Amino acid sequence: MSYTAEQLASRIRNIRAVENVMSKYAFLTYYKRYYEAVEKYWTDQNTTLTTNDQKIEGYAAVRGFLVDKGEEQTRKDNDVMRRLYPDEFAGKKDSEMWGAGSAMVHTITTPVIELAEDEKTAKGMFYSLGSCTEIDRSKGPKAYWVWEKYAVDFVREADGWKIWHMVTMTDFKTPVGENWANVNLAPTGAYYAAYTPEITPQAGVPVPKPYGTFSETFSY
Amino acid sequence: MNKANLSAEELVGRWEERREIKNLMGRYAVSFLLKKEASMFADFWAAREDVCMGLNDGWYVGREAIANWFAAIDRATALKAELLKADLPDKLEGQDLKDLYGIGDFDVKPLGTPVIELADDLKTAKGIWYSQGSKADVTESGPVSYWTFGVFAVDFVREDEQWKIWHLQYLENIKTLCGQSWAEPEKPFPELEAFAVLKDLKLPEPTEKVTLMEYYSPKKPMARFPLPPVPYDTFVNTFSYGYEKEV
Repeated sequence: MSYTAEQLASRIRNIRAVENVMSKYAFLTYYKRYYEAVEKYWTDQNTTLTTNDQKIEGYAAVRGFLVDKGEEQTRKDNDVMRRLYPDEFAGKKDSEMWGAGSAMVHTITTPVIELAEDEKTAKGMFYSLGSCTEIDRSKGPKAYWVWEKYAVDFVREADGWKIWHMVTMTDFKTPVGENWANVNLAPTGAYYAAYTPEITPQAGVPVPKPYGTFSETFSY
Repeated sequence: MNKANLSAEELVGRWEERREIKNLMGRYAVSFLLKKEASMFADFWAAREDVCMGLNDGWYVGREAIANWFAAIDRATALKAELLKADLPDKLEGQDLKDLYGIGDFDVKPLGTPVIELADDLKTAKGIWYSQGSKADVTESGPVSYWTFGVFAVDFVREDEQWKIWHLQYLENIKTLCGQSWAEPEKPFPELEAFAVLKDLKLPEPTEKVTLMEYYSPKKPMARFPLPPVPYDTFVNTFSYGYEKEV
């Protein structure tokens, strides 16, 4: 496919926008600003979110999973932190200590991005080296390595690029300090198998390939 | 090159080339993850004879040397599947060895911190990436996982309208068992009888045996990684990430 300079310039702008959407989404989830992350960067049309063991279909369900559950978990974590660290957090409102003790860092690396020739959709695959500090109910913050692939279909809407379908394929979730060939807490389910020494490497879904329009390629 | 003198068409064309190079390296990294070593040399490397690959222990110079290295990884992967099948009869009995190819292995080499420079003449390009990776391997101690941190430094060449790898260095300075600190002496896992044969498993020796990178130790000088690329007009006017025979 050959493009004019104007077309190439447009493609640059769109691919950069797609890269930025993915990274901005990662930063907002790190800051536990779930509502903003979903409101700004997910489309509300026919969305799907697939994890190792579940496929969540439709915007309301995806929003419920990412925002409602995320916020509910953060409030529970705040309660644990108030109990375990009263000197620091007793009497503080959720808004004053939102996400204290936790850190869900999902880096975005190793990008493979293909923008459709018609520039209406794009597909990307990324590898994420996650370091996640979660709150254990009795012990407080506990650090894990969470390494996973992301495969994403993006769609261009009037106010910018949005996540349309996302697949998160978690290879391992292992407490920091453990050998993940022996200890892996990531679930294996119907959609992706977490690493064990007893399985072959999992592609999960294919790496994106150049395409003309979305109906000519596979969907995530 | 004074970029102010480039047309809009030239500037966006150069951006598109950089994007293709990023995608090429992304696909190369995914191929390690999916144990595609049997086809990686054909899929990603230039067809010219003067290709070379530098690893910690030296240089693999020429097509045959690099192809042999990938073929040895392929054979090792097949052998490890055989050993795991024998070690886990209750779980793997009856499965075809072809279907078990790559079992127990997980080699993720994520690419971060990119610096990419495209020659003014668009015939070559150079890139460097830091890879903060991890690898599960089947070893003489059975399956274990390592942190594997290092650098990819690559010269690319345009061949048949596609970017291909011409010279590549992958230099690791940290390879440490997960769960241990790389700043402390390694505490190896005990060897297992069922996997003892892997102790003697060796990859082909480099064509030019020379230490390009030593693993981190608090008692050693800081690692000297390849320098990031700098803007250049044509390849003869910049440095190479390839093997250069000392004279």
